[in-house]
Amino acid sequence: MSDVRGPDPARAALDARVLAWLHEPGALDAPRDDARFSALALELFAFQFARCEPYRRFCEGRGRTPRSVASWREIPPVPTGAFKELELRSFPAERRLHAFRTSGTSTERRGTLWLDTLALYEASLLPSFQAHVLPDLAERPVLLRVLAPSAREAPDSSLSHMFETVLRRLALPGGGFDIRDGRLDVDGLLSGLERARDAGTAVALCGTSFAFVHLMDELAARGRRLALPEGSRVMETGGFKGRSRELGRGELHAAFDAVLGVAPERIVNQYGMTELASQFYDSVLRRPGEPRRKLAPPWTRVRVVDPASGEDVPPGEPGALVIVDLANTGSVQALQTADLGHELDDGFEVLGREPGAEARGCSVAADAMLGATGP
Amino acid sequence: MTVAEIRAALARLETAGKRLRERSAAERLVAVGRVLDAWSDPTSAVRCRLLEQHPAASGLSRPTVAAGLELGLAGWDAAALERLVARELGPPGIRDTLRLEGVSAVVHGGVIPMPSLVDALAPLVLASPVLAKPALRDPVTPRLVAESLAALAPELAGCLELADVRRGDEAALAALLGTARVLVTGSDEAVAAIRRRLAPGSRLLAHGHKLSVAVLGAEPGTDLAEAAERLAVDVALWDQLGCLSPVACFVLGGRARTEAFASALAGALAGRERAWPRGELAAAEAARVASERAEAELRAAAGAGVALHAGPGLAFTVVAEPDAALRPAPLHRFVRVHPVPDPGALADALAPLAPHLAGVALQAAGREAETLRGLARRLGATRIEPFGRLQAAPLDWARDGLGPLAALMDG
Repeated sequence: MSDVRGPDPARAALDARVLAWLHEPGALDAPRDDARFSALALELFAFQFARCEPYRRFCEGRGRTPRSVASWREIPPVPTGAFKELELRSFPAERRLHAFRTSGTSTERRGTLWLDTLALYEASLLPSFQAHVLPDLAERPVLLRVLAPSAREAPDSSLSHMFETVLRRLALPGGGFDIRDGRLDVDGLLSGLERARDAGTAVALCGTSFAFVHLMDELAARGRRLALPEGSRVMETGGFKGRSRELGRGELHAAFDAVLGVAPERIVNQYGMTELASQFYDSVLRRPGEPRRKLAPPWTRVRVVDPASGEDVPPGEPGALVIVDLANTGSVQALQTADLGHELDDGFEVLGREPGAEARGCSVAADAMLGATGP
Repeated sequence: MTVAEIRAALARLETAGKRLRERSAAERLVAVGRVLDAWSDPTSAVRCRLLEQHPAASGLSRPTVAAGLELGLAGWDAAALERLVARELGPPGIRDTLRLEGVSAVVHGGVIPMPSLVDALAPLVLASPVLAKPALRDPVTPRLVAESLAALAPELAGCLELADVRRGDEAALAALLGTARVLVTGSDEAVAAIRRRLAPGSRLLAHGHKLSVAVLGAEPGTDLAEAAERLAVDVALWDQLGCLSPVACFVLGGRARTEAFASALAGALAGRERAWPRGELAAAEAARVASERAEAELRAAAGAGVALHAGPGLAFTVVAEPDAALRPAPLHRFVRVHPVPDPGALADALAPLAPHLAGVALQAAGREAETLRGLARRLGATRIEPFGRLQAAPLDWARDGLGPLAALMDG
């Protein structure tokens, strides 16, 4: 039996047009091209409607078909949680090449994004990462250290794959992963950072929020503080999900400043999710001096909607985030998140829940309890 | 309140505590009983003020609060207190020997007045004055308790004060938590935060997050529409934010029966929505409900054996599930109805929730009812009641296995 895994030829022309955009030099700085986005989004909607049976039936249930949808804003978004329940792919099962899975405790269901190609995922992540985390790479060397496991150790982690791709494609000397066998290698990381400090090399320290908390707790236990060289920056992403004590965003950034010597204006938060090929980054390094906001790559659009009606809220008002990502050609391009945010200038802001915020009831969602009772 | 203000309040309460301990148990009981008589009387001034002020603070609708208070406070009178004391503290001769030393700090949580009422009054029965930190979404109940004491129980004057501690004011919180004991109601996260800050020698009594479920037995003669009407009461009261609010219903008797009951429950919740409109939803809460609802819609479209019954807007949601597997419950009148083949499978399905199970609404008959009641007890449920009565917890309900006075005396 021949191996038919790999990109679905039925989507080749569409993928090529999206990839062309992703590869365009200067695409992130080009003027917003709504016509180009809309044309591709509607074409992709028609393709995914035809090829992803559960999505087609979902859309039909809402009275939305390629005939009736005239704008990318009308494309029905699927909730991110649906990836825990269904294989939402727009290619035949036998073409499945790679799976990214959401994190979670052993008792939680994990969402799975199936891909028939990694080309779009990698093409999308690289320019965004470079523009927002390493905008000065042409001017100076940067040491990239990652507080996450490698893709070999965590093959189903989209975050690990992202960092692996960045390290491979940018070939940054001395870069690597500092979580090995599930443990943060503090000694190895410290010696790497000390060498960089002695050489005056700027550091990009990247990882999940809870990994940073573990690092800072470990440094506190050792009575250590680091002053990373000038030009260093931190990129943090994700929540805590019970894997460390929780810190509010402000508290976390203050700790970066105090323990690592990285000022808030050099801390970049990434908003991303396993189910999306593209990521969104704080503007602080790319647009210094401007208000902090998330910037969307041009092949994505972010809507802020009223959760009850699904309609866009007035600009600046809070609502649920809906993301349309053209790089999601193999699954579903429009996702409804349970995250709240609001538009801010040409970007958006994600509104996080402060740790310890008081709940209204003494009842609690069953999933939160299941998460809490997991080993 | 500043640290200095909290310390001053604690000093006043210490002085009040000395006077309180000089009073006999009978005197304290009579005084607290007068307060309870007023709170259990729907026509009393304090009940009118509670109904007037609570909805704006909690975001719940006035009819929902009215219905919840009517059911929840019925019978919470002086006679009920006397029964509680007799059961937990013994006969009058022994009661005077049972007293607590020092001030009790009470950190209230949630939106429901009844737990706040009992937490504020129980230490007073045992001669311990109270410094109460009101809940963010129900600042009304502790304030009205203080006013009731001043008006109806002058013997206890000055024995309860309120501590308005600003969020993030660690020093003020530390001063509050320096008392002999701390009663806290809140999320497991909030309880853990209090535990970390507890002063050495201070005792913690914590009521963390809990939930409840419903079970419909296989009795073929059951009137599903009538059972649904009664379960809708349990679900709709307090907008499903109470630990006695069922988040899921497990139905014995097959898939078709499950789907029929889910449909009947949706109809009943639509009726409850007309009578007791759902309250405000914060954006985050609405996003969560909308997301879970859309997920059910997608699973239904994918032929996963799911049926979605969605009320207008996000008024209520009933999801008929294909199996007994637990799924997220975003609350705010969102119920999943699961088929379960037999009691053994039900025990397996509920086992992960056992550490957090508060109550079980049970509709069953005969031997099956006994089996299911035993199963619920083994899983740790402290309240097992017929549909429609789960939220009517008595004054002496042992929330976490111990009654309100016994819990204070324990240890």
